[in-house]
Amino acid sequence: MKKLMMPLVAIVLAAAMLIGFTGCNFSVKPTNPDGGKVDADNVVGAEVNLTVGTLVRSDEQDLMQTWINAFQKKHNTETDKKISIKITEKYDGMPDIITMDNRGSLPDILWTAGDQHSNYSAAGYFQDLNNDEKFPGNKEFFSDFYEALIDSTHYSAEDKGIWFVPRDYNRIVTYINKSALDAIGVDMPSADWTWDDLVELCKQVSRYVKAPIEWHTWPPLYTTMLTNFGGAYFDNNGKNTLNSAATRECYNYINFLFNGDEDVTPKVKPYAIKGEGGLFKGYKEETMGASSPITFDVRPALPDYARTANNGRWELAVLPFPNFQQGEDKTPGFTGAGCSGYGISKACTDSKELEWAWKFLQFCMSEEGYEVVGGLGNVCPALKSLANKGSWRDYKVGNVQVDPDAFIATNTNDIFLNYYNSVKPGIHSDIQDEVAVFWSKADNSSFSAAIEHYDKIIADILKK
Amino acid sequence: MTAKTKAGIKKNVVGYLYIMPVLLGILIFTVLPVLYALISSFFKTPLKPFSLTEWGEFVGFENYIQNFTTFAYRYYFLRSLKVTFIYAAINIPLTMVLGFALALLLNKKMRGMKFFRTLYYLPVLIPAVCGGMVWNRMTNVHQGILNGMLSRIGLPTLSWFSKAETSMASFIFVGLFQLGGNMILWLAQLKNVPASLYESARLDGAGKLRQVFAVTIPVCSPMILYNVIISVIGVMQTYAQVVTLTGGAGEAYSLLFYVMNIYRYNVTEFGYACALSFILFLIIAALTAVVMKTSKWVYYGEEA
Repeated sequence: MKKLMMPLVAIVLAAAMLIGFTGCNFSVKPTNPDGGKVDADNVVGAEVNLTVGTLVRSDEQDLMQTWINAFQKKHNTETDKKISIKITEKYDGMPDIITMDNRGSLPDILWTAGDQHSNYSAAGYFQDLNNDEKFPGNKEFFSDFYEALIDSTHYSAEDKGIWFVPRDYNRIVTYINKSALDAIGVDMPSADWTWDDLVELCKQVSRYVKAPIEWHTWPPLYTTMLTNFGGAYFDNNGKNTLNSAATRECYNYINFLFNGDEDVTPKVKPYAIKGEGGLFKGYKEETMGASSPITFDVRPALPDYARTANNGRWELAVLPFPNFQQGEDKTPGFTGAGCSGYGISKACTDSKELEWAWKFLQFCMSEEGYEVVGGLGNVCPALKSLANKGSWRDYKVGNVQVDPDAFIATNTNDIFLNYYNSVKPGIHSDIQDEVAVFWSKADNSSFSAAIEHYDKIIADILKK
Repeated sequence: MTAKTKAGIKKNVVGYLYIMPVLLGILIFTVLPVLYALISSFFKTPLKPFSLTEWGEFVGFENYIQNFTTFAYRYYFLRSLKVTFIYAAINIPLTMVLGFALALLLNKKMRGMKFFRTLYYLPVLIPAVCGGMVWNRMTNVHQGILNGMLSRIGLPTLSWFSKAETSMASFIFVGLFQLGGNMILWLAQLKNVPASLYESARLDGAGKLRQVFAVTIPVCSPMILYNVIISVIGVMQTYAQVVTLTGGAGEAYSLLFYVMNIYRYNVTEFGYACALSFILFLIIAALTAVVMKTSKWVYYGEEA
């Protein structure tokens, strides 16, 4: 018996290993062929030394380091070294700002997400760039930024402060796998398309794939949909207004997108499946049915999609978010436009450092600054004057180049995404959490149950 | 101070110096933070950086009371408690039974047994964060190797952590790969069971199964008690594995463990987060007391 056991165990283990290998794909392709770290040009013995905190992601660091290198080169000579800027903090998200503060290592300049700064701005972590004395020339500087982005720099509806410089104009756009549409025999929609066109496209494509749209469970996308349906989270007085007929309609529509309609014959297949981009990027001609040829995302995702398309040898296209036309007169609908940016932190108190920090931010978000980083591909400038010019429009990976006009389209109206601005700043993150939970139920819970829970919790949060 | 006490201190001064580093470590890194958290739990502290002078607004027991009276807090508190208890109720007995079964198998005298023992124990040596990241990739719904395997052999793929309904089962499944820790304790205890007891049982006509229940388990009962207490404490503090596996608390908070709920507030409501920590301390203390009080079944040997 014992003699039999060992070969048996060996056979079972070998079989298990073989089954394991069936799931492996050993042809590992580089996901970031032309990415890579931008080396820092260190300046020693400069008159002014500034520190910067940025997100830990390599693309974020590359972007900031490119700006730093260019700015230092512009202002320093071999003999006269005026400025040195170093990235001293790399963080995962806004809460890390508290940790940096605890450590006493808060940098002079901090990255911030446009929809997450309010708690920190209101608590004094950022300096008000709307202060004319401290930051001369600010009115003129900010006059060229998109309105939706400037709206997001305030921490509340009443606040007039500008707590950070918006970096990018992140309108939601539609990424499309054109090769997949060609393979199915479906025409590529035109840039002036509507939501009805998208639905029509989904109907045609859904026969060939699991779900045509890979849907990011992402509040800006839900907020865009809600606004197009005529709903809103709060009124101007900070009253919770989500429980409305418009929200119900939007919620049920999203439920339909995820689940299709079994009540009609033939059954309408789902148009959307939840995902984070993997289904869109995972396209292969031979297994096309398992991928989704459409996804909604923003400009910073472009380099990743473009590299994937280039490696996979498929054609990537970008269209504006479809116009969800309003009413019978078919007036334009809405598209969410967010941003991230950089603020000057409370740690920057020395007048000389303040002057240079302001000068640096003005450089980064200027025509000159955007020209320097245009080749990285992940930034659509926050300046209106650069909508139709600049190196950001020429971004190309191999043979992959998309239409830059999709990112600055005017087919719909911009909505700024800080929908919670009419309530006090300290509770914004709580509200964001609850909004995310509410929409996450849209595919499997009834509207009544979801809204009842939301209303109860929001009522308590508003009392905080 | 009496001359005797002084002499005692003088005599033991070298000993005190030896334990000083450890004492200082415990004082600075355990006692002081606990005190800091306890004091903070009586204050409202939005976006509070560390400070020994500015505590925020004193609110007494409000942070504790609101946890039970305000829906927004109570809901997540009870939800996190429910998730944690469900996990504990399934995971602790399951790992103990399977760990025991595995230890019984690996306690046999067979060539290559040490290799298998090492193999089963290896996953325990991998830090929770690293293990979590690996499993995160393996259980990816669209690109994970596990779903790849299932679809290649014609089976339906699983949603793993991407759906609320399957995330707890997936988490328990992934946790089973840490079975080696439990197994090693059982193995150590099994080695201590006197062979004479089995001999006597055999003479009394006991079969293999009867020997397990009448000899092995009673002799191992102190270890079972120890394991239950340690497991309860560990499970109540589950955090790193969930974060690395799901990047958060899973789909719609389906894996909102108690400590994860504490982390939801650690920036915006630090005082309340501290209060939640002390409530957890009381819960663990109560559970441990219950286990100890009901431990009459533990066999400590004849002399005990």
